[in-house]
Amino acid sequence: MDYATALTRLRLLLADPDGAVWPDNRLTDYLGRGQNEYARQTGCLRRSFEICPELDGSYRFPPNYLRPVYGLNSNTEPVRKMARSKVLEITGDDDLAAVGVPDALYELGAGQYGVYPVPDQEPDFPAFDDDYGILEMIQDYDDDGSGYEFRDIGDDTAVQLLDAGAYEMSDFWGVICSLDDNVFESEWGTVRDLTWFTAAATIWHQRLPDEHVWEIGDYLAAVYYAAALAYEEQIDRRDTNFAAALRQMAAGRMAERRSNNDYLQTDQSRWF
Amino acid sequence: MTVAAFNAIRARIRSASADADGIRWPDSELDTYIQEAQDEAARIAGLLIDRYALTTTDGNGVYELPSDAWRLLRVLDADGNEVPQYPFAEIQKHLGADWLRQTGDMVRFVVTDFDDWNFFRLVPIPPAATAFTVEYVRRSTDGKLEIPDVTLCADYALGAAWLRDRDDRATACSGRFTSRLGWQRSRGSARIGRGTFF
Repeated sequence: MDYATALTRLRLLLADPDGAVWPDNRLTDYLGRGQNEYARQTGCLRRSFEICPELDGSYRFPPNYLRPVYGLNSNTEPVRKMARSKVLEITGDDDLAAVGVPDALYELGAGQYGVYPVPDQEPDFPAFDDDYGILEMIQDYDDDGSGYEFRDIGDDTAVQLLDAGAYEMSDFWGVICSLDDNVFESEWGTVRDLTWFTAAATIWHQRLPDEHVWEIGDYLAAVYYAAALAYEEQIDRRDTNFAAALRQMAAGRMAERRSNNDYLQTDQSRWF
Repeated sequence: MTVAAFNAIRARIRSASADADGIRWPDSELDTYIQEAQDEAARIAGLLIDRYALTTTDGNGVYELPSDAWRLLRVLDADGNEVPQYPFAEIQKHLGADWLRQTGDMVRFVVTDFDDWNFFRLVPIPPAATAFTVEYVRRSTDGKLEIPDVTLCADYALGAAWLRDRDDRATACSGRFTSRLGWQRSRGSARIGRGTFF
């Protein structure tokens, strides 16, 4: 399943096969919103991240983070999500600055979170010039470090990626090059070894789909949702009654998926 | 190009909608709906089931279903015994917080509510090269009539076609499809139904 297939199906439903009414980009946007809604309502997409501080010492959720499902720290103890006020109340620690292995996570808004206690490890954040990038090693030909194949992960974006958080790094980050002339040299030589941060904890979470990637198996739910948006927002084709019916159909499919999860008792509130 | 295997269903639709000449909906559009009807029947009632052999790899307890899967049905061990599916919250209660990192010679549980779409997890993580058989509910194959229930497929496809035309008759067709699927569902998917397993 991909966006193109979903778009074709949506055009059938809208009786607009040639794009005379709705342009592709708008319908693709509606489908994306439908897919996001499905993920939000059902919690069907999951991923994990490791608790690591950013360059500025703050902690930020991954970009498509939705809700936590499970947390485990390096002592194999649970990490629980709770309100900051609750952490303050339980610990009596006024500035929440105690150092240790985290067993609590609290949201701070704007995509940031805090952990308690605070891990005492600091990841390695090498500074890069703007015209240097990072390559990811994708293959070690000889399995001994003597021959590498690298994948360019971008120019300045790569630098920003590294700046954005240690969770983006791995043992294989750290080849620096000047991207303009492909010189695989830097002040560190070809490879800059990074000290890999040992994660103090891992959080498994519900997430939104990755951008421009079709990830929802039940594409009809997103198609119905997108069609509802199309009939609501296109002034000369507005049909709010039909849009409401389509929304209901989409909601029904989402509820069905959610109830299947309930049957398996996947309720994020049970853990945190 | 029209799908020859769908001829009987298209004829039923044309007859029911007084559209013998295909003025209202072209064959290709109806074929899309008929294909979708089979997918829906498979999804709701678990009518299409496939299986494959899974050999685990060292240290890996998480596996992805094939791309045509709707959902996992069951996992059988080498002796043909079903490995029970449990919600991860229950397993965590019994095995402790690090349940997802535990390893063991015998896989005791299958978890489908923890990982990404269509992934499942074997608990505890088996040693290398342990053999299983995985059964899953799958989608229909493009261009093939795999659920040869003309009435069922015609009801759904006609409903989808009326829906496109924003015609109220879509509701009645959808109701007939759901109703006809009901008895199949009660037979086919009872074991995986809500509350029957635990």
